[in-house]
Amino acid sequence: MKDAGRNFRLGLFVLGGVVFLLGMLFFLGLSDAFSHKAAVCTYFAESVQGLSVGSEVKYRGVAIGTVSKIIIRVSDQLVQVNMEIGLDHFVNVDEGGRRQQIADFNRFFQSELEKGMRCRLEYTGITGLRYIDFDYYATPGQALPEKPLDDDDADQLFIPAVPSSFHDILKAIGTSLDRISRVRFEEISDGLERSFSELSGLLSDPALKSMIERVNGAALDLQSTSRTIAGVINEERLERLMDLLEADLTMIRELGEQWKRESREAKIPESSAAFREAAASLVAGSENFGVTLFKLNRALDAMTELVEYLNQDPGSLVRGKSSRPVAE
Amino acid sequence: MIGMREVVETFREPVVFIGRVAGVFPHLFHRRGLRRREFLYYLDLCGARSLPIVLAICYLMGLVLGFQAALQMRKVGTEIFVVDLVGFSVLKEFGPLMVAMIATGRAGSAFAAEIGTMKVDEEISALETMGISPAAYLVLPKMLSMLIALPVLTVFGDFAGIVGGLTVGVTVLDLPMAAYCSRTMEVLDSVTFLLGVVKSMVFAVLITLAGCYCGFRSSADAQGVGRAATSAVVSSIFLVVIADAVIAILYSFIGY
Repeated sequence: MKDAGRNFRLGLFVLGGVVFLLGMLFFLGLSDAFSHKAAVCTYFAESVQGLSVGSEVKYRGVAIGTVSKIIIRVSDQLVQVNMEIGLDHFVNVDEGGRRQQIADFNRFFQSELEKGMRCRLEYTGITGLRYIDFDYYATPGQALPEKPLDDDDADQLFIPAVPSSFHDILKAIGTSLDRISRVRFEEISDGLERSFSELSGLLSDPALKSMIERVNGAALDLQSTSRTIAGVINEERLERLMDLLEADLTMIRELGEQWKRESREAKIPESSAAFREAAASLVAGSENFGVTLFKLNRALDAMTELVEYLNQDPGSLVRGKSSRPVAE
Repeated sequence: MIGMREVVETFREPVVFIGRVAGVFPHLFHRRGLRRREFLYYLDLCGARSLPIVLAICYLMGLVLGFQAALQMRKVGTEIFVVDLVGFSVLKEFGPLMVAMIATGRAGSAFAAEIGTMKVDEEISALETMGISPAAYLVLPKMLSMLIALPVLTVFGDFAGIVGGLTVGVTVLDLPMAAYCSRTMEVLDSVTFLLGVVKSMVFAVLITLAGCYCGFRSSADAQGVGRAATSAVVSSIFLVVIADAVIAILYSFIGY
């Protein structure tokens, strides 16, 4: 009876141990052996520090698989990362046989690639560990980069990788540092030194010193003048001046209005028309006067000729004009 | 002043004892090589009767580990990594180690006291007179039962430790139970678990050998039996810790 009790206890112990052993094995990964997986691969040109076999693979934040292999391609120094994607994470890719599931999965990922899906390395919090994230990092319809040549795993779906944000930051810092390193600090320093030395020479010039003294004197004069003005023109006086100025302006305005009014009343258009007519008649008179003066001029010429003739031959006044010319 | 001869003898004796035990291992494959009744007795003593204390201690160990980790990791907002810490610590180290410590206290001392008492009663000499190898008669059933009991206890201990961590994760850290289990499945793998179980088999061999060796070496009086039991516990713990360190280094070579 004692032995029977002990054997029952031992049986429970051993069976319990075996059950727990199998349960733990199944719980801790043996179940993976029975799930369907699809293989995909990518190539990174950057460092994959923090990524290891077993690291997570996520599709827009959802863990869908793990990294199964990381190798370095000696031909082009690219890091090839193979991944295993659990097909049970995709709802509609869970029907039919394994071959059908993989075909559906490949079709789905191809369409996603055309929509701009790419993979990128991302950090897991502050731990330094990394995972691979599939998301739309490229513009839809963008041409897919070609898969690197001499690939041993030709049947695997190729997901192009884009540089990680950390890589972008490092690249930007590198570019900035490169540009800074190209700045010729020595030349700038020499130039500044020269400029300072010239400025120092300029400042020590006696002419400039005397000019500065004169400017100082002028500034002092201006200061005393402004002080005087401030003493003479106080607020009350300024207000009075402003009142006077305002009154004057009012008067000017009134004068202007009055002038406008008078000019309207003066009938300037009619006066100017009469003036134009008078001017026209004056112009006609002046033309007549010109003709008269021309005629008078001719009469004077004839008179002068007569006087000269008489002067040469006074007798002609009595006997009349001879036939031969007098001057000859 | 200990002479060179004594020093050499001190190291020679255990090696001779191991050789003697190894020499009787083929007896296991004989028809009447293994004393079935003794084997079951020790399996009950070291395994089934140790189960409650193993479950309690490993559960509390997982609880304490999880709690201490939670206090520190909460400061940097990485509470979820409590799962990693508890899982790996329990599976790789604390599960096999705590089970080994309990087995040392229960079985190692019992083996030494039992064999020491037999020596006092000159039963060992009687066995030798009858042509029965004391190593085969006394050590093999203990060794075999320990080789079965300790891995099974380790499986239970690992489970209890993870449940302890889960208790802290769910109650103290307010992590959803599904998230805790999911993370455990994600970070732990079956190889890590099996390596811990294999480690416990090494501990089983060491504890049995140390307990039996101290029993065989005990002086033929009551005080000698007490000293042998004490020595067995101390030696076992020392050997287990040394072996744990060596195995950790060996595992690191294969990436675990």
